[in-house]
Amino acid sequence: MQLKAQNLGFSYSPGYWIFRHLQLQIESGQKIALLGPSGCGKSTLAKVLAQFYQPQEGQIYLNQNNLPAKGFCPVQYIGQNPEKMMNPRLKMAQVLQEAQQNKAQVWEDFAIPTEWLNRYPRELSGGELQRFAIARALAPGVQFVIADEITTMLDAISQAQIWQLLNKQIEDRHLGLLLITHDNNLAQRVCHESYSFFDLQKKE
Amino acid sequence: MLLEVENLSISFRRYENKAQQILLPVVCNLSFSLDYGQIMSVVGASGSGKTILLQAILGILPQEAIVQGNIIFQGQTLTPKQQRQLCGKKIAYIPQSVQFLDPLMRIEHQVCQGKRDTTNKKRQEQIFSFLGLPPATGRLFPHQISGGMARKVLIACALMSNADLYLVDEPTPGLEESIVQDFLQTCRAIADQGKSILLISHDIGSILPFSDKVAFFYAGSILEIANQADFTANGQNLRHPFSKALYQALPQNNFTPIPGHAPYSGKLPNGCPFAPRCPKFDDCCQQEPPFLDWRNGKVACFHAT
Ligand code: SF4
Repeated sequence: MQLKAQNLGFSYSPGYWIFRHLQLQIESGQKIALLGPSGCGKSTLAKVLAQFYQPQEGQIYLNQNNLPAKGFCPVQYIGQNPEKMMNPRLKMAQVLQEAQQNKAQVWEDFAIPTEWLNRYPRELSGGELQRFAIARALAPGVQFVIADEITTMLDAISQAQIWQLLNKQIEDRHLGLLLITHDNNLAQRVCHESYSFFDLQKKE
Repeated sequence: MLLEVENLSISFRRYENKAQQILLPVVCNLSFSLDYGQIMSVVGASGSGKTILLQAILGILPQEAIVQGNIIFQGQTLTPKQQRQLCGKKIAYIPQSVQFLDPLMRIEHQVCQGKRDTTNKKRQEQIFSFLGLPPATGRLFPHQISGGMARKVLIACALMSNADLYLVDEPTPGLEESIVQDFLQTCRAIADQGKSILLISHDIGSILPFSDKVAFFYAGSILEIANQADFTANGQNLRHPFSKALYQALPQNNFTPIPGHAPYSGKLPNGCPFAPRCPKFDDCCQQEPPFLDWRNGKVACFHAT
């Protein structure tokens, strides 16, 4: 599998490009880090790749095809604040159920104790919630994971725990990873290659 | 000593079903001291109660909090009334969120708190130049400046008070590396002028180079207060099992986690709070919580190295 962004451009208002002429290619099994200062547009790119926003220019291909317009997106986005992506009125079991991921195997894969399933999002810590966000994103059918500063708010132990779990899934399932981070050390630990966000926008 | 905290415990009243009242301990029997010219960082998981500690020192805890113990500032045990008087004068707070800035007020007015007389004006100019803020920044509104500059404006507001103690809440998240470095360097410069800084953070990697001491906070307790020199390769010189585990989990070190989770407040183990996750755990750790005898350079562990 290959995820490819060709000549991608995005703007919120005409003429002001967040990024333009952006090229990016990730293969299954490949782990790529994208580094850049905050506010440079990395997160916007992540959301465009995961089909939260439509680009004004260019195309995103999954194996030469366009991404499916409906249903589960094989490119999944995980963000910095998992609580913002969850319905606060749902118990955690229901949060997983939304992605048909409320299964014993999933609890085990992400080291989720069953007692957490009965809680509401506000009753869990950031690191605990992030496991649910990842478990939900890694539903069957996912091919590429976009991890946008997913452990920035966590202490070092929780961060290392999350990456141990996620890395195992990525390797076992031969997924592609785009890690968006400001932390060079983390990029070196997790990824095969690192790029600067600005380098992706050079015209050929 | 500038600040001494003695046996500080904070719990919150909560009502469970059937209006049954329970007490949730958030800070348990905490003691430490902070000298003039020092930066002490309190590190640990976010949401572990570190912010509550700052609020307790400032005397701005929510109503339902129950506080025990002493906060001694410049030799004087503070009463709630004294805390209110000192807050913003001798003790200043540098919040995490730039949302503390009033969006409708020009920056120079916020920094001078509306009182722009000649003395204040002059002081503001000095502070701006110390912080590297262009003088023209004063005429702007908060939405016209970058996140990094807004952080500096928050520091400027705190510096105007000419306080002796600065309490800094989570200075790192959401800011790019260079701005964080800049901010922490500024903190260092403030401390080097003889002021003291108590800083809380979950990001030990960033704050370490700027801290004189690092307090390891876990489940409401401080388990070790380490000196900067104790942070050698892979943390062999740290002595508490939790401190070692936290430091070794950094990507620049081993990046290997320990299993398990921090206990919830209200479900703390009887003995050592770290016991369920500790590799050195034995029966004696379950009897009673170990005491942090920091004055004698000990850590809160029965089997510390
Ligand atoms: S007191 Fe016991 S359980 Fe607690 S940290 Fe020390 S060895 Fe581990």
